[in-house]
Amino acid sequence: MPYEDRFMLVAPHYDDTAIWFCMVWGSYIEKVAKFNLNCNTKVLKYNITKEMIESEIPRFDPKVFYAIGHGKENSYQGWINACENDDLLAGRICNFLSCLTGKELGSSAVSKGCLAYIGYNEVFGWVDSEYPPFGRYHWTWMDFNLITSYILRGFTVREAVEKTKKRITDWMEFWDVVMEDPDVVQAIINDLNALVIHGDENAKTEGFEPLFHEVAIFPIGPDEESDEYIYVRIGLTCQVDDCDLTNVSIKVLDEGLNQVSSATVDSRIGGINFARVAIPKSALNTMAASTTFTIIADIGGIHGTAVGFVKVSSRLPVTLTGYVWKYYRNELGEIVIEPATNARVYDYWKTFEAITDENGKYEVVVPARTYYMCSSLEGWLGFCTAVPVSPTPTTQFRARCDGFVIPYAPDGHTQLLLGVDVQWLPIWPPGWGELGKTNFEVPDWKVVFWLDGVNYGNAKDVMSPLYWVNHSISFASAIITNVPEGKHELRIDYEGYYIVSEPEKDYYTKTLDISGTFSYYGCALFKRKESEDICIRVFDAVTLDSMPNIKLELLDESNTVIATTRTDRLGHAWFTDLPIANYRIRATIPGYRELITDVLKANEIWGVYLPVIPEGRLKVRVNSNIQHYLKIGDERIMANGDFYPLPGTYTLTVPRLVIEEQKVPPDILTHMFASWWDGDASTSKEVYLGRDMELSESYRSAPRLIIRAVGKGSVNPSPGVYYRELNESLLISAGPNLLYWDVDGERVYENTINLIMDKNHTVTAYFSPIEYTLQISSTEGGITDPPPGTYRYPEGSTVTVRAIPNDGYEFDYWQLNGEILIDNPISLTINKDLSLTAYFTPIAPPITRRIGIFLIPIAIGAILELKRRTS
Amino acid sequence: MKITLSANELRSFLASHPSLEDVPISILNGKPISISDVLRLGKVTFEFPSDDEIWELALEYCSRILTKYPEKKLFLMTREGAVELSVIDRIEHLRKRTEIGKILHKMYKTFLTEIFRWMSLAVRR
Repeated sequence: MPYEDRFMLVAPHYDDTAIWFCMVWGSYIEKVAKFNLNCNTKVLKYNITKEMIESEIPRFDPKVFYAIGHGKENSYQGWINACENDDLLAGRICNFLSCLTGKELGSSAVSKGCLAYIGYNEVFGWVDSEYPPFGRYHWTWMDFNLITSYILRGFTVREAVEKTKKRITDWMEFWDVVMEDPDVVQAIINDLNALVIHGDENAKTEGFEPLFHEVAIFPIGPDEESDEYIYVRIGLTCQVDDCDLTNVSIKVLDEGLNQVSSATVDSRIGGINFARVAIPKSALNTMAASTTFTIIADIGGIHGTAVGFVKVSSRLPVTLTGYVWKYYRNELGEIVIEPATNARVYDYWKTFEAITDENGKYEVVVPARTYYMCSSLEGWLGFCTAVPVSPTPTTQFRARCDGFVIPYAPDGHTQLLLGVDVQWLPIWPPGWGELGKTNFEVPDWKVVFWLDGVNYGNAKDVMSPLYWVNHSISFASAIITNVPEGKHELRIDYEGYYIVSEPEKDYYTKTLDISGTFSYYGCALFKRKESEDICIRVFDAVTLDSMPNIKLELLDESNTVIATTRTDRLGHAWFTDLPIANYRIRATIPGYRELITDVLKANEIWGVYLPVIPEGRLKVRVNSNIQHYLKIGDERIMANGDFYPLPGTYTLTVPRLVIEEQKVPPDILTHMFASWWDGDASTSKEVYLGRDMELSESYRSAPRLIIRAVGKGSVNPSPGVYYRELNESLLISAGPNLLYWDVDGERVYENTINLIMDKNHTVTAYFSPIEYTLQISSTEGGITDPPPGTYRYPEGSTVTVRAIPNDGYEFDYWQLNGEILIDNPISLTINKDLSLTAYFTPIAPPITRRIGIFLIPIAIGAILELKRRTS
Repeated sequence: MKITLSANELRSFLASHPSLEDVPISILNGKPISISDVLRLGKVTFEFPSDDEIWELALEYCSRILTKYPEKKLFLMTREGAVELSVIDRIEHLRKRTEIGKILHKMYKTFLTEIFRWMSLAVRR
């Protein structure tokens, strides 16, 4: 039976964070509305325009309107500007999960007939430890969705907000008492305090009871680890009620779908249930950067099967060796290089630290996956560079200027986010604070962006807001709003600077075609100069030690030597004031193989790492279509690139299955090992390395299939996670009582579905909930709530019945299918037909009344006796 | 706003809000103090900080969580767009009192207000 009151969700995308904010959180409520509450639902998301929203609202006429996305005091996502068209919200219950809109937009909308408006008076914030937001904190904030869910179920606006606040407060208690994390508590307090209601707090929909109780299962972070296990706290929340899931069993499966652990839900705070699983370290894929475990709670009944994932990073440590130098131009304009001795080096998060020696060298063992991280040098602003043992350092460009366009905005207009990014200066000095003394100068962060200055004057002179310039001083940006779709001339004016591709200009121009696709362009930003320098660092490819006093020759394109130089004691050398042209560099060092670089372009290359290979060592290039998973002997190859072994026999190993997350939002990509370069398909092989060569291995896509079942019914294959061959055809069938399938968000009614594994799929079978009868009766002297009668409830649901005695009576006991129980109210889990009778007894009279009652017959008897005697 | 709690009340308050132990809540002799500092110092009366002091307290708070929760990121949906802030970013914004710093200041003030409200409830109990 379709829901009469319609529901509309609007979640336009705006930027990377909002994509997550809108898409992930929005998709969840979309799913609940469509599949669980059976609402007539309209969703506008991705690249929607202002016209689409404005035309769709009156056409679809939603009773409940839920908007997720950026907001200001009087506007939402550029659709509503200065409360101008919020009259479209008249007659509707509106929830805006959007910053600040509670301030003006809410009261304005209500004054124009909006029934009730739920919004936020302050900036909405949330905490996460990773991006995109699927970290341990994610579910806390996603539960703000419950407001809409409760409204759709028929609760009043006030009740919906209060019930959601209760859930969020449960989360706050968890973070406060269990995790002892004040930062999350702070952010929750901020959001709860910002939550406001305008209009009629008693507004409600006709309501609709959910068919099922969706259960979310998710990790809330590893707690601790022992030598053998990693302990991960798992959360389970029923998205319908505060259901008690204590004693529910959880299975943990590895990537090969073997069960590696199990646990039982053993505690709860309000509506949040917890378990703790012990994942054996032996189950980690040591060759992968991380291992994804599947967690399954087969609860059954109206809760069905909950499937989630736990991603555990590899525990294999990596040794990092690097050098830290100070580079700067002195007052005479000379380039000075000094080792940063006794410098404390730490990674971005301070998870490891090391002290440099007198040569600026440090060595530290860090957990896996941190090998790529830049290090910071205390006392200097910004980054310096860690040179890891692996991968082999390669030539890097000295600067990058990225501008990118976010085309998704309403009104046929777009929001244009322009950025100047000067990250990745691989051997750049840590002395960003020494601006003006270095070869490369960062603009003063007042970059002017011009956009079609003649035809679109409003966009002129957009100053990059200073607060975007973060600690790494790497990014400046500006947002230009309401840019019409179509072609525009972009002019970025860097006075005194030039763009590599257009060195003759002081400014950068580009024609932007602002349309419905995400576009990206990049350019390098340099200080305007007629000649260039190239900085070189020469080091031993095996030991990574600097190579001092090495003669280097600069060759032109015809290999004629045009200049020579020598490395200093730190292995550095410079060729300065070079005309902009192509060059090669040659080094001939006794005991090492001769080195000649590929072509270097003076105006594109600033710093070059030159590894020189000791004689007797091989140069083996590793090449794979999936990186980071090859082990050669005991050494893990962290990336495609070169390594330098001694000749000998080595065992090469790769994992059978690789799971990766890519893109924003992340796409889960799974790959099966296919074969080595010679066609061998075994995951481990021995090979003799006796000459320079290229090793390669290839993987093929193996899309992931998640099968879930909600309600009682059989599914073939059974619920779980599967990895299949690309484009394999699969038949998935469900037994009787199937209501429908949810296939990647689309409803399908056939019992058997034919699925082509051309991508990852998630299918959920929804079965008719099994219902049982609860017959309630009461004896004389009282009633029950719910009143005596016969009721039908879905299997697994919880019903509370209260016995209410009349005056002069008291509740005595319950009889439940013949069993005597005394709790009042009584909470029943419906898993069979039940018959419940409330027994009441008269309240015993007070003693004085009793005496009176006894005295009356005595008195009457005495009077009668007296009468008999006198007569 | 001034608040007075006995040592026992403070201890019992911390037992129900253990995460707040090291949260700087007031300035004493020019130095930020947390609830555990208050207990240690045996001080039972302290005042709600001024706006100026809250800048300092928020900065101190971020410095403390930097070592305890280094991986933490805060996401804010500001007027100008979404902002992802590492703890170090937060420190910079607070230090420079940028627009985002002002949002962080306000968040911290709300946080402190709630803590003081909780503490006043603890007294009433």
